[in-house]
Amino acid sequence: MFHFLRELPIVTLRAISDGIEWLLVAIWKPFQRESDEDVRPWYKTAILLPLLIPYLLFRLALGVLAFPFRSFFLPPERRRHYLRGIPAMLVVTGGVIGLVGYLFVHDRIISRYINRARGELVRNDVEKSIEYGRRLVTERSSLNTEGKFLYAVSLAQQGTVEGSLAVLEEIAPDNSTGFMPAHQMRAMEFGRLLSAGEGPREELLPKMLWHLEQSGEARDERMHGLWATYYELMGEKSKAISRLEKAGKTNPAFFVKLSEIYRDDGNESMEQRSLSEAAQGYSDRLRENPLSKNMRIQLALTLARQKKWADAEGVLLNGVQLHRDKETLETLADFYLMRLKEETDSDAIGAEQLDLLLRALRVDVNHFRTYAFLSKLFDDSRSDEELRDLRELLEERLVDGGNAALAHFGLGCWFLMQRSNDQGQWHLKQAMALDPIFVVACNNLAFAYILSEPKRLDESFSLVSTALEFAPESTGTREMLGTVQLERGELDGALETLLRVVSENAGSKGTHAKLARVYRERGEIEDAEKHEALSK
Amino acid sequence: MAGFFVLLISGICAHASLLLSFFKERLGASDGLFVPVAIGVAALLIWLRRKDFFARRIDDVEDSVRYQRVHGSVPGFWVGAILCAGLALMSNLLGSAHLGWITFLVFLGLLVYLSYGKYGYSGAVPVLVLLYFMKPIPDAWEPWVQLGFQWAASRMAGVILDFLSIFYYYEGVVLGLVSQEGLAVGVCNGVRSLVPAVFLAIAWGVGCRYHWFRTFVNVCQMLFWVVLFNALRIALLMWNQDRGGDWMESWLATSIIEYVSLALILFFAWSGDQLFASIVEPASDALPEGVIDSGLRDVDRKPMVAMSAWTVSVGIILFLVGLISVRCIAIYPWQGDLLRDRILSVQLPGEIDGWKITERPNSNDTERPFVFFPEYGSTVRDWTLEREGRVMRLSIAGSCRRYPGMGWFWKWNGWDMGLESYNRMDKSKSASRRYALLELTRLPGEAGAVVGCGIGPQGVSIPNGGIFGVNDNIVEFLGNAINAVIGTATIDAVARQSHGTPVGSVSLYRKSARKLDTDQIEELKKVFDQVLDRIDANPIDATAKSAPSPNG
Repeated sequence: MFHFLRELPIVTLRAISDGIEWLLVAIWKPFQRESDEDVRPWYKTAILLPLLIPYLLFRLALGVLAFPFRSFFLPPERRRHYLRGIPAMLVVTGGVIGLVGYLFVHDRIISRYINRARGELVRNDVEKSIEYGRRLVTERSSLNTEGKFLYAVSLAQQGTVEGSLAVLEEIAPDNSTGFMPAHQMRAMEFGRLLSAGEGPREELLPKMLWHLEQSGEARDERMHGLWATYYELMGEKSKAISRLEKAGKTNPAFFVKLSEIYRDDGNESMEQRSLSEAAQGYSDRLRENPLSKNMRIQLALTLARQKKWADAEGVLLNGVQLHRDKETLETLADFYLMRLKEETDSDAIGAEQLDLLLRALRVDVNHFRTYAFLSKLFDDSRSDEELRDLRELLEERLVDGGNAALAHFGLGCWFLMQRSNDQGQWHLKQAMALDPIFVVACNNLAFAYILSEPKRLDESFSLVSTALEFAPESTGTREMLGTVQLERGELDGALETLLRVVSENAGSKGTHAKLARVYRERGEIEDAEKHEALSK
Repeated sequence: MAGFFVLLISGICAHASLLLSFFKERLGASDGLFVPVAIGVAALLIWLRRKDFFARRIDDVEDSVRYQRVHGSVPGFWVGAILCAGLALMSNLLGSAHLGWITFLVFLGLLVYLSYGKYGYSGAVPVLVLLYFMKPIPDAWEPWVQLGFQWAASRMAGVILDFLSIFYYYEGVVLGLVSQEGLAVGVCNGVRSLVPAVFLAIAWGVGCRYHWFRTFVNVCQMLFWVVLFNALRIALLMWNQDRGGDWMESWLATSIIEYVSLALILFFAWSGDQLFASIVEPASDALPEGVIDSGLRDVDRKPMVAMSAWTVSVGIILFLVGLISVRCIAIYPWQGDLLRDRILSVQLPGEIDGWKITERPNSNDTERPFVFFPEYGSTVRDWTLEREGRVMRLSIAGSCRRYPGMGWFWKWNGWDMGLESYNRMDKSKSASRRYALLELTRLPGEAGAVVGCGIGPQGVSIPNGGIFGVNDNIVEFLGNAINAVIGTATIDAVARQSHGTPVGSVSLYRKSARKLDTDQIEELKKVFDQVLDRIDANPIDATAKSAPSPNG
């Protein structure tokens, strides 16, 4: 019984096989030659061919299926060999099945990488996105082009522009159709180069046109904007205006750009009309989302362009009331500086200029931009009389309760620039006494301590640390902390601090120069060189 | 009998220095413990097959007195003698230890044939072939073979990691995890157990007297298992790294994993062999019918080589051939220390042709630009050259004993080199200089070029060696070697002998997002020329320090 059961599967399969063979013979037999004189027509042979291949495949499958059972039909010695060979057979079979399955799921695996890369880009983790991209660009897959595009975007965000462009050139070549989003990016790059005047126009314009055409129908404001840039460069202003008007309906920023075109043409009425359109657009969006900082800032800047200073100031002050954050305060300070440039002779020293500057200084947490204006006031090229007038203006405001701290701060900076470190320190201390959370004054006093002989690094460190507690969002103060740490020889601390500053304020060349110094002192020459290049 | 020992000893003398060099290099390798094991296995197999040596046809009366006749009148004797002497001479002149090992095995085979006839020969040949597999791949090819196997193992490991949903990327044959910083260089630095596994597969076949085809199949499937289990090892270690575990990174854990991998490789190879045997009726190389090994007289067990004038003369010739190597060693002392001193003494100015030069001490850069790959623990110095935002890297390293061909190092890290650039050798303005230029591409947006050459202790520029560590231009090299023997040697003559002077590597590398254009390449070569000028400026006198010793 056991023997029968053991043989049942193979016997059954053999029976089926024999049955099919009988069938084929039955079909073939009428076509067999009865004698040598018979000529078999070719079509009678050909008719069997479609049956032949399935039959062979069937016998092959039969052999494979019967293989596991063949041990029962082997002599004892070879049966032992066969059983010992089962582990290897199982592993190889499993491996083959796994590899075949891998081919089917490969695209799904690649799409996981693409999703991860996209996610990391959204989270601003560019390095991780690049690492996902490194796998994507080496894989052969139908999704390979999309992977390369993401890799290019990651490289661009990392700052490796040349590498990004090289990848884009591969997937969006200059002479054949490639990946549409990549064509868009290349068109943007050419637009940027042309706008910045880098590169020969006669060479770049046709390429920009090619990539614009390969980017497909312009469906969003970005593409309309690119076309507008192209037409503007080609001198076809009417087409540029038309495109900008289409784009402006979705993004009011394009109306602002349109106003610049009208301004260059001297068409003041159209310029104002465009600015009004932009302001209306921003206003509508702000009404829909009152907490949108970007819309508020853009609206204020547009009103400022229209010289509606009071309206613009009102918009920004409302924003400050809603959320008193770094970006809004910086924008308000920029507004005052813009007024200073637009409304007054900013090179002159007068009460009006000083008032605007002090207003800017009051709100500017990051003192760099305002400080640059302040420094201009104390420029060495000024005559002694001008400097005396400035000092008097500042001293007048010493008795003004609202501006006393600022005036002391101004005088403190003035004395530091005059190399009178002790007097500068005194005024800065007075400023801090009047306004204990005068972060910028803390900063400058800390710097004064570094410049003093001997260096008072401990006090400087204490001051900056306190200032940072009051204004943790102040990148200028954080950078000062990094400077103090560097002076104290605390390289690890300085590195951590300055890297954070760079991540928040990537464009600061001074910070890169300090980072380069830190890396060089740590012996990490490659990183030092990288930051030295960025500091130039 | 005496004649046998005369020939044996003279044959050993003919290859002495090369054998010393060979075993020293093998024992000093990372799998050096394998060598005594391999010798022991071979000796055991000879013992197990000893009856082959004594096999006689019962009706072959001539053979019973054959040993009395074996001397110069036997036609095969002179053919064999000329062949052995010629091969030994060639190996000694070329100075290749690996070639010397091969010719020594050939010599042993011929000696066995002379001494024990065809049955002894057929009994010994499998073991001699097995001994060859102690080092089957020449030095110049071994890194490339490792590259191929590592590539396969890395790709297979990648498939496993994909099934485990672990995210990774490739840089050549090295894997890196997205979740961790850096590449898994230590994990992907070569396929383990390749040579020992193949050796054991052949040894098993020889010991069990398998037919050669079955042994060949076993070797093939062994290679598959080696790749598979190395892939599993890599996947396991990377899975552990991804989880943040570090216990598998200890020396003990990695050793255990490697031995377990080897055991599994051997088990599955055996299983595969059994499966093969169940499908194909296995044949064997057992003694043919009609051959008996009983009833032998004592005299029949002795090697059939008589002491005669012919054997003595052949012995003397072989002995003289061996002296060539010894003389070479005496003339060309070990200069490894000189090379190290040369490298350490290199002083570059702060600026060359507008390029600011800065040395980078203790640089741990994984992308050091080597044209020839230095030995582990070599002296390495790195500099950075910078000008107007452009950066180049210079590395000087020594010593390089093996010349796997330029670009192997780059290929390992995923760089592609155009065939044209790989073979390109440019002459600088100085006729004695030849260097190599490799134009590199990797991922989209990654390209570069590296130019390099070799240096000896006196700063001479030297091209790479060939397959067995021998100059590609054999005629030129043989001429120099013969000059060396007859006393008109120059330092250049021995530079590429594997038992002589090591060679250092000087390489200058520039990375770019796009393929470098002609102007950039010319700039690279021009700066490299000037760097070589500075290096050549102060050569060390080789005769001041010399200590004869083979292969350092």
